Amino acid sequence: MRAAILALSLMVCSGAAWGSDLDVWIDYPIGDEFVHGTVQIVVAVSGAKADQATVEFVIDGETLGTMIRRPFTINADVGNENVEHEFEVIARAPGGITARTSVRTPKLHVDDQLKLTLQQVYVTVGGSGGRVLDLERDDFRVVEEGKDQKIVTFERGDVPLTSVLLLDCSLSMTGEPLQAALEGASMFLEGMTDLDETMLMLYSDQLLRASDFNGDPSTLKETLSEVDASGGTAINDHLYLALKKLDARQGRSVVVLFSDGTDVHSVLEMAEVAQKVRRSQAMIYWIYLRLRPGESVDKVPSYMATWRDMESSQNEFRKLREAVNESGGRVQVVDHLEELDDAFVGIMSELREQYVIGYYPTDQSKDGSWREVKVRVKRSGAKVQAREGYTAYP
Amino acid sequence: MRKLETSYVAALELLGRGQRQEALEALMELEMEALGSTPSASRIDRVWKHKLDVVRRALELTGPEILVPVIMLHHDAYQLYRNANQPILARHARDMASDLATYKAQTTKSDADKEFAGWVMTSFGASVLTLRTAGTSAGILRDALELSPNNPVALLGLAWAHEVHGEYLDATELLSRLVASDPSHAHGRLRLAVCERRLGNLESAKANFMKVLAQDSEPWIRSIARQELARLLISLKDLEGAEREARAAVEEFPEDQEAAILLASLCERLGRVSNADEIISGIGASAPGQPSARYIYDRQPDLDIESVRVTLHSMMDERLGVLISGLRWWGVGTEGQEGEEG
Repeated sequence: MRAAILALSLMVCSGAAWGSDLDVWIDYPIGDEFVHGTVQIVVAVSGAKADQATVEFVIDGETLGTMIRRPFTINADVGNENVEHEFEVIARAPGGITARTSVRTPKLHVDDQLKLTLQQVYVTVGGSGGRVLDLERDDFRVVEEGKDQKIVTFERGDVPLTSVLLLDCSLSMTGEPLQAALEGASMFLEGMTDLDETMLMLYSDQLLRASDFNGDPSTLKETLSEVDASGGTAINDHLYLALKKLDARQGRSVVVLFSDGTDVHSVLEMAEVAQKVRRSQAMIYWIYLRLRPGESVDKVPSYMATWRDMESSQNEFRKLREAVNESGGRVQVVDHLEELDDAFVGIMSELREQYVIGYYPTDQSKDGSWREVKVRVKRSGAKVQAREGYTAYP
Repeated sequence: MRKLETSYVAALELLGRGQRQEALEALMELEMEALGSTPSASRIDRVWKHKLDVVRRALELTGPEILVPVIMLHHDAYQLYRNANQPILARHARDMASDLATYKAQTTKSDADKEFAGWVMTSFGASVLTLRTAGTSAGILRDALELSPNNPVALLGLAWAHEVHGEYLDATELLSRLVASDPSHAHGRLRLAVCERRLGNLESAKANFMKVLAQDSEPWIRSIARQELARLLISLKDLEGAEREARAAVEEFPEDQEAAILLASLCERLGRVSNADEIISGIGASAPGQPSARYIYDRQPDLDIESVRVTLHSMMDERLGVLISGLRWWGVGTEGQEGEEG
């Protein structure tokens, strides 16, 4: 996915292969990169007959399906085995015109992995007048464990994303809060673009309802209909579940967590989930519906429950907040229900205005250690929001 | 107040003749009329005194057993006042029933009367056992345990009230008493083990989790026992053992999301990522109306107080004849109770 974006932008710049009646090529996956899990296959078609073309997708000799109109992009689960895969596409246009191409992705070798691990950092830059959108590659500096890193890829603007929208539907959300949250979520879905995909998870003390990853907002909105608030709150468990679901996806991944409190019922401690956050590439945004206007944003709530005494409930809250910030996302505190729409839309807008910076870490060892990453910009007064590091996971 | 005494006797007579609902309505009507919604303390005292005058005369004519139906009449009125959102009258009804039950137990000094009084108060305590009123409930249940130290419902309810406030040591003391008097009480033993784990008493906690799992009990109890035993093993850095427990929970309860998430997390920590992925892919939305085991554990325990109330009412029914006899000072029953009932 990340490579697809780069490839797409290069294609536009170079204006490759325009001329014949029908040309087809695979923008992603690319031939030298190992793929696993769900892979987004991005195909471009050009030529005089391109507007009338259909595209058949074949993976490892099996036909996956045929798309009859743009965008010729499809998701396919190729499994998690370390094996080669062959991706073939056949474009057909009226008059028997056919064009085909294929890409073979390699299996992963440990040595290759060491050489090829590209770290990507998603960066939001704010300033006094809103987000700063005119920075160039040379305006950024990436420092990992105190050492400057060479930026090898740089993107700005609208990079497709895969998100999980985690919505708290516990009993305390009964009535207007739940309706407001569902409306906000609906507006988030409206902000999706063609290559985005979202999974909805409606949770309380357990998963009440879930969709698959889907790029169609109207299909996703069906999951939001006729939901009743019930049960307790298990944020940790469902955040872990969301991060696991995103593990199998490639590209920019985001969890948008909505809740009106902190965890009460999870079997997992937040400290355990925080470890998962560090291993994951996903950014986490937490919309925290507090409904206590005027109270300090830093005030930590506490709840009485058999599973969490006051101290541990406050600890869970703090650790969640830390994990969110460390992931490169942020906590959005909402004190009034009417602010919820703006909170959801604001996050989508922020995601549309991020810089994507890639670098090969100078330390390529996979020793499981935490690597602190700092991103700086040459712009006075600019405020940078980015992942604070990653676990160098074998 | 003469009218109040007459009305009170009439209510008791209705009860004595087996017309429980009518008796309650008559009692509530006279109390509402005499007290209103927001009575002063002195007015409550006067009403109390006049009702006690009736009870005292009836007591002199019969004996302490006459108190059982009187106590139960006020016991039942308590719940109706609560439902009618009359907190002061509800409190008055509860105090009257509790005081009479305590008086009876202290007068006769019999274990049966202490147990009866303990159950009456446990019934009140269970009625207000919610997160918001855990403090009030705890006070009532503590009084119940003064009279009936091994009342299992009061022990479990009061332990929950302590647990929810993070007072694990107090909860452990009560739950230890509960399982000592009833070793088969799986619910009590589960809570004991959870509280012991929190206090760092891991060996005892582990033993109690194992005992819970060695007996038949409700699915949520078994699931929590496995989950918490796994968590205990995690705290001892025994991830393999924890994984075994979590896997056993998933095998026993395939729909249990909590157990599945715990197992996936453990598999991932042990480096078995594909196992974790497989488990996660199997987690779907839960069946509607099926609360999770951890949610059930957290809510106030189902104290099964209704069966206790049935027993209390049957004790009351057995003493209705005594009640009628006690009311003969006011001319009740002199025409022959059997004839009227027939």
